Amino acid sequence: MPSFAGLRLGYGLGIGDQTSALLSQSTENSGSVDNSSLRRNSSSRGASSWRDNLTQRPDSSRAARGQTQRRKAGSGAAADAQLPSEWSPLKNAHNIEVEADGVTVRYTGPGRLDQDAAMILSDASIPARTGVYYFEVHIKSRGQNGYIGVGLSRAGVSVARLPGWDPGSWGYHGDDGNGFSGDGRGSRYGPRYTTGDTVGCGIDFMRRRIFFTLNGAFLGYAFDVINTDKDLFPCVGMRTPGEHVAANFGRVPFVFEITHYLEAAHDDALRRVTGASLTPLLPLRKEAAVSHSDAALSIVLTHLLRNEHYGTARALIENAMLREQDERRATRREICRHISEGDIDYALGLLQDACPQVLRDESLVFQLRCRQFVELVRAANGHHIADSLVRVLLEYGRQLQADYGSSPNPVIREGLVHAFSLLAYADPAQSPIAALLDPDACKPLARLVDMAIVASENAPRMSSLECICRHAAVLLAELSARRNGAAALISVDRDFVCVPRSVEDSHAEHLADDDHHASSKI
Amino acid sequence: MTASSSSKQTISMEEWESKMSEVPIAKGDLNQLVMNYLIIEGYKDAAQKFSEESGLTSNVDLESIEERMQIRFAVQRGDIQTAIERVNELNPDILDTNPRLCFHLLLQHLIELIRKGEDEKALEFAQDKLAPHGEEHPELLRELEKTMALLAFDTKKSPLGDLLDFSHRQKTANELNAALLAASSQPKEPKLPALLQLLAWTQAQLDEKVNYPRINNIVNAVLEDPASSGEVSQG
Repeated sequence: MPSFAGLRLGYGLGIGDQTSALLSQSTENSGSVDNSSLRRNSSSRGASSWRDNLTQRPDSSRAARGQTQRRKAGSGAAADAQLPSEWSPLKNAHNIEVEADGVTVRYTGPGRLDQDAAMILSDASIPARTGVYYFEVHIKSRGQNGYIGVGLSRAGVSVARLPGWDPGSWGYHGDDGNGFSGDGRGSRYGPRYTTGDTVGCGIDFMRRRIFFTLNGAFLGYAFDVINTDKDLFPCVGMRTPGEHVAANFGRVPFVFEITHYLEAAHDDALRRVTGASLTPLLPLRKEAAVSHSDAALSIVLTHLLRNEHYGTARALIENAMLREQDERRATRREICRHISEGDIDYALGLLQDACPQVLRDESLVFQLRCRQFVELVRAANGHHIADSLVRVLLEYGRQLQADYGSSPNPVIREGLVHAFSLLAYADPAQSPIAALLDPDACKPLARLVDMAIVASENAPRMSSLECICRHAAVLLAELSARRNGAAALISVDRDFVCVPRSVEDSHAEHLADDDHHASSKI
Repeated sequence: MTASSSSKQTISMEEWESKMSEVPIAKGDLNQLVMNYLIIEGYKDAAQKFSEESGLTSNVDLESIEERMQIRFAVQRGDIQTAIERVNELNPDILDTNPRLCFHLLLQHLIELIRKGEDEKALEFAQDKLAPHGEEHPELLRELEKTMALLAFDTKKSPLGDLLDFSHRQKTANELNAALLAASSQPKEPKLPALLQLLAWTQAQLDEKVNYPRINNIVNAVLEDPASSGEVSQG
């Protein structure tokens, strides 16, 4: 099997049950491009570009052989998202015959009148979640008059017609080079084509436009913007005896460099995204929306705090010279002051009232209570065993044992032993573990609580950053499932998370060649 | 109100959250994003700390962001003169080729003078240094005019207070930082803002098709239940 290993690593699309369907549709290969087919294997992020990705052919057993060039990623197999792979098998063939390979068709009718025309559609429609779909037809013989049309059609359009003659079908015809867009009236489009030529037909779901190629040359967009909400099928039509054509649905490399087109389309999709305004999503501060950079900063800060990167958070606060906007700062200060002064139980009480969420952090609470124990040891130091201070200490110690003695957490158990070892010394201040008694030892704990409070104020179950990534991934998947071509071309991890590399420069040069594609849009 | 919203399909909060929870996102990816942000924004200490705390080995030479960071700090402190000197030491072309940036730095200096109550100096500076720039770039003149209006108000209560806000320094610092990055042919934007734009774009696109839990505030990133916010978002 070609390298599918990396597919699930990305999260551009991996959405639950849909994942398999989604990934699978690129299974079958072709010019269909969706998120997954553009996705890079994460291990190849550094070096290869997404155009190196693999395309699997419709028949994976055949795919495994030979095809080393220009394949895109795909995996799995779900029937509901099948790509076109052959011409539809005909029950009552009308003037047309599909050969054994499934992709070659021959005109078999009398070829005298227009109603002798015959059109055939592919076995499957172009699936949703496709950004760009492309296929080619090689003209094996123009036959008598070369009345051949290549294009796209909806289901249910009469097959005794050529593509583009009836509403719901679009075609580029060989005998006159005209484009037909459903009304039978051709308009000047491209050169004529004949025996030996290869005609390509593509649909760009982002621009909602159809284009054709001839022998690898892009001919530009034909027709107006089309409705892509309804299913479309690749199709070919013929009308005179001897006409004989073979389709390539991606089993072998295309004559046209579709990857260049894809790169330009992908680029354009990203430009659309970066044109979006963030302003409506920014919270207000002092009646004005906070700036983009402030928003990014606080998102990063929340992420750091949620993931307990306190040191980084502190450094960032200092680096960015952040000033607090926090109304609850006074309470927080008070809590932290009590902790640094060793009055931990009082601080715990305040925490319970003001920020109970913080107390859900078991290890933090344990550290605090241990510290309280140490403080009691300090206070009781030098007092007689019968002194009330000592009794309080022992009572506190017993409670601590009861609460944490059977904790499965090794760090907690170790901390407990450490704290209790103070009791082993008549004068702990002179003991090897005297450092525990250092009053300054409270300070880092106070800072930790300080951070935890800040973090808890924003307390989502995950950091905004993670939430945004996940949300955006789901949004993209939902959009591409709804035929949003631009969304189908984009992936969160590849385009927005993966850190840019300088390698992309060469890639950009490449795109410059194709600029005429991108700029000739709507 | 209801006609258009009820005709649209609704994706429930539960469904959406379950989809979200199944997005295979790696903490390492998020950390990359954060590291990328810290480095590009020139927060060197934070980047260094982060590489320790997250175990993320960055192949970026942290020392290379030192210069950029010092310049950023100078702007954040309001010490524009130092910032300009340092930029010119680094590469005099940067300000020569970015008249808009140059103007914004001078403008920030003017704001700092006004903040310190040095009104006469501010006036002189505006007329000597800024106005000539404005003549070459008339579109910048409006900003100068707006800034000069600060002189007319008690600075604390000025309706133009946002100019005096710390975030205005931050904005200037960001603009300068981006120019420094561009001059050293590094990517000048961190990835994170683009991700936020992706969120904005995808939401706007999907709004046309369905009701779904939306994020209406990217800073707290809370999903708004479509069941309760449906009517509101219609407006």
